[in-house]
Amino acid sequence: MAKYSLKRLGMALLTLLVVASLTFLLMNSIPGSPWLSEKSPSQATIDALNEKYGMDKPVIVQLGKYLENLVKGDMGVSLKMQKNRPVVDIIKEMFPVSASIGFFAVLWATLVGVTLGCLAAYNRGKWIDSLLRVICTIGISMPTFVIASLLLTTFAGSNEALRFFPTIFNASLGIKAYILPCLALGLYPMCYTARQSRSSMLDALGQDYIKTARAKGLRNPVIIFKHALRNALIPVITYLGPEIAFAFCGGFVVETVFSVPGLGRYFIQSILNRDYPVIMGTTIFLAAFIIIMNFFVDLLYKAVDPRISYSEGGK
Amino acid sequence: MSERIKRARFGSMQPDIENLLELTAEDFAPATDEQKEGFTVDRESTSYWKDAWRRLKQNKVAIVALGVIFLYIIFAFIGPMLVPYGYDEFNKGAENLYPWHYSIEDKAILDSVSGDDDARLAAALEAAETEKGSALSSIEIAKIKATIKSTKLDIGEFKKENGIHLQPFGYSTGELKRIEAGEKVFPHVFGTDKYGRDIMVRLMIGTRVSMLIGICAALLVLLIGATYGSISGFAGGRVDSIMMRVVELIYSMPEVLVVLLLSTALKPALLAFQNSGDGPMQNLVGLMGPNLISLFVAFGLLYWVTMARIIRGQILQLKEQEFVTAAKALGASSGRIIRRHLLPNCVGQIVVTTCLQIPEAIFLESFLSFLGVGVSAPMTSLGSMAADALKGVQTYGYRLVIPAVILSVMILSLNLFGDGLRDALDPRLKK
Repeated sequence: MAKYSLKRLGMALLTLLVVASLTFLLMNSIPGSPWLSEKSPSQATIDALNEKYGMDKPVIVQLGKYLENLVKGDMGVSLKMQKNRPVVDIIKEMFPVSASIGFFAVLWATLVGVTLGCLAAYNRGKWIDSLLRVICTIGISMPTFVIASLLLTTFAGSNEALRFFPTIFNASLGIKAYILPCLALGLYPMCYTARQSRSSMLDALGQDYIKTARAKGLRNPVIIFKHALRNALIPVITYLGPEIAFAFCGGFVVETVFSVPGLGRYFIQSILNRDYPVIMGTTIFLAAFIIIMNFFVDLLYKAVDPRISYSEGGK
Repeated sequence: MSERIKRARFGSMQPDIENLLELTAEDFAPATDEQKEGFTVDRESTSYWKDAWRRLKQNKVAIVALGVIFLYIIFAFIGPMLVPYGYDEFNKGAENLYPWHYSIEDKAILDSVSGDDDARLAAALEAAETEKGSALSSIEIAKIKATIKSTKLDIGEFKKENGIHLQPFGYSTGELKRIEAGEKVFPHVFGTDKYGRDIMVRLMIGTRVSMLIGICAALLVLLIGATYGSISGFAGGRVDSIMMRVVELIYSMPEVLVVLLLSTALKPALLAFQNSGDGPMQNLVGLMGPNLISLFVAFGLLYWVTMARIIRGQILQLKEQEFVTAAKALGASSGRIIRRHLLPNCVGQIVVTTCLQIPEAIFLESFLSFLGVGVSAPMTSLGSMAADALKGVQTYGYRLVIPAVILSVMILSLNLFGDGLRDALDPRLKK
């Protein structure tokens, strides 16, 4: 276990390093210098600026410097959107909003998804199973922005009778402000989780130990919750990693649609405004977050199911 | 002949053929056509694809999905030829049309009665003043105002009374006049946007763009993934483990972030390239737009890993089989074995994975276009149309709903068809 964890940690760090370097190199390859804005400065000014920011050195040295600063927690300052404000500060301000929406979305998606999946598996072939299957298939075919904007127009649109929620996100409204974004963000993972837990539950229910449990005369709820569910949950855990990644990247759309002042929306705006330090900082931060989450999910997976071996030859 | 037949040894379990076949000269007469008929195989041998098609046909959901996909193809590729409007053509005087209209007479009536309240107020005030004979006090004015407001004309009721109905499809006033003059004008089925561009044509082109991107991205993934996976699986050993490490690395990268990053970074470079000359490559870049190219680059860089994993798994199993040994013994090169013997054996998996990649690519493209970093301005896509519609969603909700529904149904039917195809091509995988 310790060896495996170390290995995974090494892999995670390597991925992080690759993402950070890729980000830096890509941003560095953009033609044109950041100093060429409305006023065209003299060559001397450009040289001085280049020297000040270390941009006269070879790229690899710059990369090393950038990574070093990154480890120290320095991501540079915003060039355009909030001029000269450190990127780290911006992330600190924006991320909690995104994180809370993402967290609640993942939470409800997993809870409801597993419940519906079990319900469908238990009622296999009955109308409830078919109904859930139809809903889930439709759910995973709707892009998040479709779900989000339909929810927005329906429940925060011009129709007074249905207007339960604010059109523009307002954190002071408390839970009311979070409902629609979380709902929109969680629908896709919920449907996916439901499908997955249905099939793994069916798998588990077909196992011999379930027969044994039935033969012992256990009641159905006990069989389902105590015996089958535990094993059925394992594949669901594997999906948690991608689900978290989805929640934070899908957050871009949801935050844009509901005007949530979160990191995702800010990231998109920084791309549209070409504020490179913000783009780099946010990319690396979000990538690190997702990679670390994946790392923990992997460990959790391993801890929950000791049967799983991670030998090289495995598929 | 008969001398050659060996006599059964004593105690042999073999049947005594000599006794079983008491042949007469008649038995050696040529068979008549009628007799030959009986020898023909009752059931034709089915090929892999025929068998799969037979299974697919039994799957009603998949067939319906296939039908829907065909409709989409007609809509996206033939549709724009039938509609006389261009997707970027500004129809002057036909801006912001709803997908419905009133006939000219009805519109004139409506215009006359729905004149603003101020006019009615002024008329009422004047009438009251002449009646009273002197200037009105402020209280009286307020009273009149209130009555005018409360007796506001109910447009819905009025329409019912006068038999004014909405007519389907959008026409501008100018176009309606031209129709009256006997000209044939193609309707704006879904209305027009704020520049007067026909929304239906834009939807068709957007669907076409989405589909083409999906297909091209899937083919790109197929090419890279199948090559990489088969080499990795076939080589085995250390090569395999290094190659799979790379796959693992890419697998754990957050794709959407990298795609967004790529589109940011590649855009200036591609724009510079596009403006550098007038060669065919530059034109291609100009046609596709930098965002789209970075989308493909991202697919080529990141999304092939699933395909590579699947192919590798298949090849690992297949390469131990006898026909590979036989091919090796005959001196076939590794490349030939992979191309001629291994890959054709995982064609089912390849087709299914490619098919399911298409909706995924469409998903991603619409996502990026929605955020404004996908298909760029003169071109259109379902995602960017939805994004445009979001701004005026309170008045023109249908402009958001229509592309959203088209996109969702497209992805849905592609997914369902892919699932059906998987069940048909590889029944073992059926859940």
